Amino acid sequence: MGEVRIDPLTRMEGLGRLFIHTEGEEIKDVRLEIFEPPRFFERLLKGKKPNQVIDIVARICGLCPVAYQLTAVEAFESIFEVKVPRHIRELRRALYCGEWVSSHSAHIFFLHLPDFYGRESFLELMKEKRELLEAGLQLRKAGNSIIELLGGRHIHPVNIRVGGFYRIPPAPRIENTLAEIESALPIAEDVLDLLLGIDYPEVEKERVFISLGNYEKYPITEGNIVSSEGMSIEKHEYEEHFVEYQLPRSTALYSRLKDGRVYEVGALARVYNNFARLPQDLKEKVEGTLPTRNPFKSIIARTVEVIYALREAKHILEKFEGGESHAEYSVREGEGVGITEAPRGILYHRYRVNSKGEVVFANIVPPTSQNQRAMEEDVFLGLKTLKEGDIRVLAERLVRNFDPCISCASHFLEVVRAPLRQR
Amino acid sequence: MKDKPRVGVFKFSSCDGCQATFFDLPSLWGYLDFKYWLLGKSKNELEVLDIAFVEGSVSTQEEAEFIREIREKARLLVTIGACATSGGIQALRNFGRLEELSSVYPEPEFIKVLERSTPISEHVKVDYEIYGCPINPHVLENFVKAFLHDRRPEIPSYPLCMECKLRGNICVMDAYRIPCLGPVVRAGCGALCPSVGRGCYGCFGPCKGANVESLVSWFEQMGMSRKDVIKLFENENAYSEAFRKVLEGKVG
Repeated sequence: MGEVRIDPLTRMEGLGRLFIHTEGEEIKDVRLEIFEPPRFFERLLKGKKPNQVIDIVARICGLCPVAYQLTAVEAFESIFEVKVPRHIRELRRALYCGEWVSSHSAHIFFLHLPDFYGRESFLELMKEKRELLEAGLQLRKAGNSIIELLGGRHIHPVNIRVGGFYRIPPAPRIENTLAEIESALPIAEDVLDLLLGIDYPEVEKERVFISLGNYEKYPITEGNIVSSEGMSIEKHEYEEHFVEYQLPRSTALYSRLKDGRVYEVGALARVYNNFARLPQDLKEKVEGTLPTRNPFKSIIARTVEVIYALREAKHILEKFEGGESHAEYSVREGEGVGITEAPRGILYHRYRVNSKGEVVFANIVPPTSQNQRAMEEDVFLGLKTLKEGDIRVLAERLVRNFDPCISCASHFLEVVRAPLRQR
Repeated sequence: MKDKPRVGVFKFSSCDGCQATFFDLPSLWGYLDFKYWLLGKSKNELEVLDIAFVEGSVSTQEEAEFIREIREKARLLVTIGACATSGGIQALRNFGRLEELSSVYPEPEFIKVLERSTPISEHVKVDYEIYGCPINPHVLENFVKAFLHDRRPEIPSYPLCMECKLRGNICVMDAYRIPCLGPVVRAGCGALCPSVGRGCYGCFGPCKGANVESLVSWFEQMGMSRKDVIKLFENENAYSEAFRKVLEGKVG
């Protein structure tokens, strides 16, 4: 029995390593170890009030803080039954789009793209493909600009609160961001053309894809939880259909469907489950390529989402006519869930608060912890199917296809589960 | 100007946000020779470095050993962000008991973490500290440029109030009685929170000579309960020397 060890994994957020067990030429087992130290967020949140929770949960992830903040907001607003005005819901959607653009661009250009040119880093790739990295910078900048406009800053925004925002941005600043989006859009379309023209290793995976869906638009915060197999459940039913479990090798909990099946969340799953909701011209452009079960093409799925998110943010900001910064509400005891589509897939929060609005229980399930088993299976399948090249490089690429965020993943759940409120 | 310095970017217990700042600073890429940066590169060698940028707090035994190794290799060691500089939001656990925290695991014996999440300076000598959760990219950019030109880096140490006044904000505490940590917090973010009409919550840590006692007594005069005052300091820099005193009940 041989062992190939990739330690640590690189060009991924957070700390992990990979073990591949072989017998002769044959791959026997693949283990992903997450050794990112836990930061015990759920416990730190106890006793905190909702608006402080919104500031704290951002710190789980420096790449997708908006996802954490808006998922927590959704949970608290469901507890307090806040009537959130339409213009606020729209602006939040634009904010979330900004994060998709920013986070996806970081992964596409700085982490993922060097794989497709056989380079060890974006800094190396820059030497021969400067214009490509510059495109990436422009796109990330446009995404950051949307987040800064609505959130105050792009890492750990300060403008989000229960009921809405602390302040609605003034019109001239909206114009500036719109101009950045305008100039980013053709760049994103060119990148998509380029990515549709390069070669991808041929692998097809069998996988249950989970995302939000069954909604009139491409889902970000709205809709049901749907699967590629036709499942559709309400958000509050999440814990009845998905199970977390612990393995000694990881400081993040694993996740599976209650019937034992492995599932996957993220851009590939979202596009697979919601392809029909993409704009017609985008669908035509990627026809025959997306939707796909080829994990390497997740880079195309992310680029399509960058274009969609830029257009959607533009549309929302153009028609925004002003309004109150937030809705008033009264604090009450209760329990609520929030599920949204973080850049890396569905993110689940459940909170219970007392009559003073203080958190007495919190449960957070990040996308990357849900994908752990799927990542191991992809490496196994990929190494079996594609026999050429360096096994270490290939294995790492197969993990990187997921855009894992290991920093997010290693936060733990309550062991003793509080019973769900009866509905 | 100096030759390209050999730099390493290291991650400890953190969210990756501060090191991601390097993605947003293309002006620096050509001037630095990245020898070790797991997030940015696949080829990494821990060799002698001119500057080690360190993100994250120390919260495991492995991390405590690794930071010593980095210190031996680095001419300059610079912490980036609240986690590395004061222990981060995860240092809130330093004020509770660890057994209680790890009971969140189905099988807590798998988890090996230290009792406390601690700043880098508790373990090794730190040459410069860049504050903020997250750091301000301009401060990092300025730091690197200062290094390249043998200048002294400008890392703000004055209170946030100065930045806030320069922005022309109305004081949220004076005008609206919103509790604000501005008077004791380090400038550097651009006074973001008061600019959207809320109080500063301290993510840039204590400023130089922070008079926490005085601010706490202001809060109490505004009618805030002891518990609510403590909550204000339960932030990303709770374990900094100046703020810690409040959480430990030693102020007021």
